[in-house]
Amino acid sequence: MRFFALVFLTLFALGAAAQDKKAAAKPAAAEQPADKALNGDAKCTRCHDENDDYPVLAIGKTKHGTRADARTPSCTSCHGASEGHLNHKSGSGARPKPDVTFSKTSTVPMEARSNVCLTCHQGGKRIHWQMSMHSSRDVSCSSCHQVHAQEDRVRIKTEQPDVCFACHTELRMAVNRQSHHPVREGKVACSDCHNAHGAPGEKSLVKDSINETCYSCHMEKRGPFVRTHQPVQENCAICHNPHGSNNDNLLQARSPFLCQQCHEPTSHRGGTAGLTGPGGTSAGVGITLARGCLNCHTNIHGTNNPKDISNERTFRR
Amino acid sequence: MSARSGGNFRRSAFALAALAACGPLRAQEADEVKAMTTPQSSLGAGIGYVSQDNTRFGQYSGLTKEGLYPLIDLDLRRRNDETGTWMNLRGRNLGLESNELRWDHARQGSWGYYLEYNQTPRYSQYTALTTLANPDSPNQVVNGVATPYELELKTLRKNFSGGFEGRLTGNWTYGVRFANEDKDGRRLFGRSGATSFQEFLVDPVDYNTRTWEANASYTDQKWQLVAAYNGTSFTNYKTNLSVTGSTSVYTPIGLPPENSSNQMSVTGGYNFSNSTRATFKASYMNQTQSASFIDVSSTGRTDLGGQVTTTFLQGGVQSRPMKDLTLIANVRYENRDDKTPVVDYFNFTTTSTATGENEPRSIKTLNGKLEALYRMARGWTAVGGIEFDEKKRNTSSVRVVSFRDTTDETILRAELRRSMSQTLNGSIAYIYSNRGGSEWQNTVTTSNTSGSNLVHPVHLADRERNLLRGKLAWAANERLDVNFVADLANDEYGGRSLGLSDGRATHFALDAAMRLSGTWTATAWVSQDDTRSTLKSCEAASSTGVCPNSAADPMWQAKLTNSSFAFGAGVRGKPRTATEFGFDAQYVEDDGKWEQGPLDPGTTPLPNTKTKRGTLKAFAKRTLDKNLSLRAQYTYDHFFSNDWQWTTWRYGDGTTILTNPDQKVHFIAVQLQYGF
Repeated sequence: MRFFALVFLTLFALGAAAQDKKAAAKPAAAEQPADKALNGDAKCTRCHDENDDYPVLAIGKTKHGTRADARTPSCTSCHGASEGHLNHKSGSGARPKPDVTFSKTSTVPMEARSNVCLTCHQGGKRIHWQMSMHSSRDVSCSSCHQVHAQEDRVRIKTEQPDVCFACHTELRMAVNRQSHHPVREGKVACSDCHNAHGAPGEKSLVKDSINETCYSCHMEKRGPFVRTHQPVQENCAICHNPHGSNNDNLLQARSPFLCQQCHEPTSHRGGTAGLTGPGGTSAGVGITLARGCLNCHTNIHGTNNPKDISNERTFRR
Repeated sequence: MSARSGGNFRRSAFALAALAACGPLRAQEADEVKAMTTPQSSLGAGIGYVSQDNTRFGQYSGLTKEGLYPLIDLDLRRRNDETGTWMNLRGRNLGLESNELRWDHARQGSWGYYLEYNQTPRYSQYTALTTLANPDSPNQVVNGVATPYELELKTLRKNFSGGFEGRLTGNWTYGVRFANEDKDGRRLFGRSGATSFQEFLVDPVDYNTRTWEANASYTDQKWQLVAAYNGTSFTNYKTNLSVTGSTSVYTPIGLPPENSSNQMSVTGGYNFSNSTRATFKASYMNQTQSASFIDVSSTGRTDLGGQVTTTFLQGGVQSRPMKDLTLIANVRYENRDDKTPVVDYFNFTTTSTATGENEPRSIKTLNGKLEALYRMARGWTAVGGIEFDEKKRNTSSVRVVSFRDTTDETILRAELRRSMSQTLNGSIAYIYSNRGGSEWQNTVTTSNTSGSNLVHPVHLADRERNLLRGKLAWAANERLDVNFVADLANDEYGGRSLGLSDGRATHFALDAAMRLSGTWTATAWVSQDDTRSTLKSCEAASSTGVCPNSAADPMWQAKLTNSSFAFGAGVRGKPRTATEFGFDAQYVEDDGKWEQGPLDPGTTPLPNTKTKRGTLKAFAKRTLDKNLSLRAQYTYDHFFSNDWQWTTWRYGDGTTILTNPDQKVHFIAVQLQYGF
């Protein structure tokens, strides 16, 4: 860790020094520019500034405000030419709003608001936006993103879940259960698994299937194995609830009930759970406490051990 | 000097004086604008104190031991306004095990690269009191030490990643990325013991996972294309666990085998017009697993030679044929083809329920969706959709679970939304789905006779699902937002006589966000969940599936219930210009019930469980001068659970698990922050 920290700090110091040198070599700026945050923003920033109800200048701190990049927008690129708003004469009634506004009380259709962003941002991870559930359910880019802020909340790992939970309230409950991915701790964000901009696969996942998404971090479960467990290969979510559970290891239900949802009640498999009662594995504690059925069926995701001293087929070695 | 000229002089002098006065004002204004439009950096350094050892509060942060911790955060941003070149160095939790550090350097629109280091610890909520020797080794000894000792169970992920992207020419860009993650530590494990009493073991986790990607993208107003290659590899440095110190035969135990994959994909979108767009993706992945076997196979093979190929195809169109009508059609196909050679690995010990052959698992998924969205007068919007999902799987000639090679599900959606005003929006959605499938295939033994066939596996069963969802969003004004959500779901299962028979779920949530004044905001929410399902089974069914249904071996059912209640509230504000204040409270309560009966005689029913977690957080930030501020933070975290899963459990080797059921942690921190 210390080594990496040293590398990063050295890179930053060298880079910063190089940039300062470049900047110092430039001649002093001429008269202060009329534009403040974006190229061509003067006609707007003559009235709008940081003291507005909608502070605007912080956009200058963002990538949109990188004026050396010729692709970056002006105010009217997103808000429309807004001639009526700009040329309004005082005393002639209320000033019309800009052509495109993004506030929560805006009457501009959500699709039109998103189209403004898609003019430049349709590629990459947003190719499937129009096919997404968010798009068809009247969620626009500005429903989640803050453009006029140095920090866009939804792009900060520690704050992103709160943005998502504003609508997905059931998941706010789930991530607070005792067994959970470290979402509330800020180490995993919703976007680690989901692409909110739409995806070709199921559930707007970053990979094409649930299992492929899980394998991104849990590749040890991928196999294939000498002995495979059918539901494991089909869908991790048959047994696990990735958003959180009161059962250990994010299980949908605890042992033996989870296993009894598929397995026949022959032999010891139909045993009743209990805190006392018969030992062993026929019923009671042996199938209920600790890891339950997995106390013996250790390698439940599959085993690659081909030696049959005793029943690798049941995932015990 | 004439009076006139004197007058001119006086006016000129006034103008000059005014200009002289305005010059600094203009300069000041320019400085202010620059400050408001220039990326800001910050550095924070301080110290925090954890009041007691814990396994919940610091589970993923590393704040698990009583004591002092350095708290270092940094967010350095530089932008060269002349060239548009950014340099960012961001670090979080740098004094903790959960540290993250990322370096970005990019000339916006031209090129950019990043390097990142990220650690994630996971402390198990459980501590073992054991006599197991060599818990970090692949050679463990049950009862290998004389005196039980407390063994901390923990894993740590260390992830190092980097990438570069650049612009080729025109609309073409390219990128490469890689990530290397080492994960090691101890995970709770175990095995069947010598006399059926299970023994405690540790999974000595020692993994390496690597991913890498190269892509090329093209984007213009019509076409957006991404062609990518993705590779992955997984290595386990401890391939098996050998256990001595007990007469149990379950050794060596196979640990996860190394595997790898290579994938090519093309993803794209095309705008036919402003109102019609198509998207697609095609990918092919080849995944292999050829780790050397940990023990000699009677077949003479030294590895599985596992190979799985996955073909994925997707195509979709979204169109607006009329101003108020939007149509979406999408189809998705995935063929996961397990091409692993079939070999009889267990041929010298046969049972009635296994041939000894490995069982490659292939599955094909076909999903199609049609959806129409129509905007009507007075703010009404209607959405109607139909979705079809089919899964086809293979099976083996001998099986112990009832099987269906095909399941298909039809899903119907109807939703009505209304924007009742600029400030009030509501929606109600009804979703109906019906899953069925091919004829059930009975369990089969090696003698080709049918076994017990009582249970419909949960993922193969017939299922009828009804879901009703209502939402109401009220933006009372620019200061107050209120949202209400209600979900009601019901499942009915069928196909066989046993297994899950029904399920029900409800969810209610009320959220409010308030801007109390220009400097104060508040949020509050309350949620309630309830999930229930009924499971039916029987004890000691015969091999042909006859339940004794006696007092000793009853037919039974269990009503599995999980109820949750939670609320939260937060306030942020600036009571004084130089002071910020924040407070958050959150409480979550979960209740578990199992209600199983009738029970095996002598079996004690499972008590209900209650798990509670309350967290209070407060911070105050005082600005000391233009750049410097002091932030003080207090957190109180209380976790409680009366869960019985481990409390009375004792492994055959004597190991017990400490569950630490009641944890109260105070965390106090002070950090000096420098912003510039």
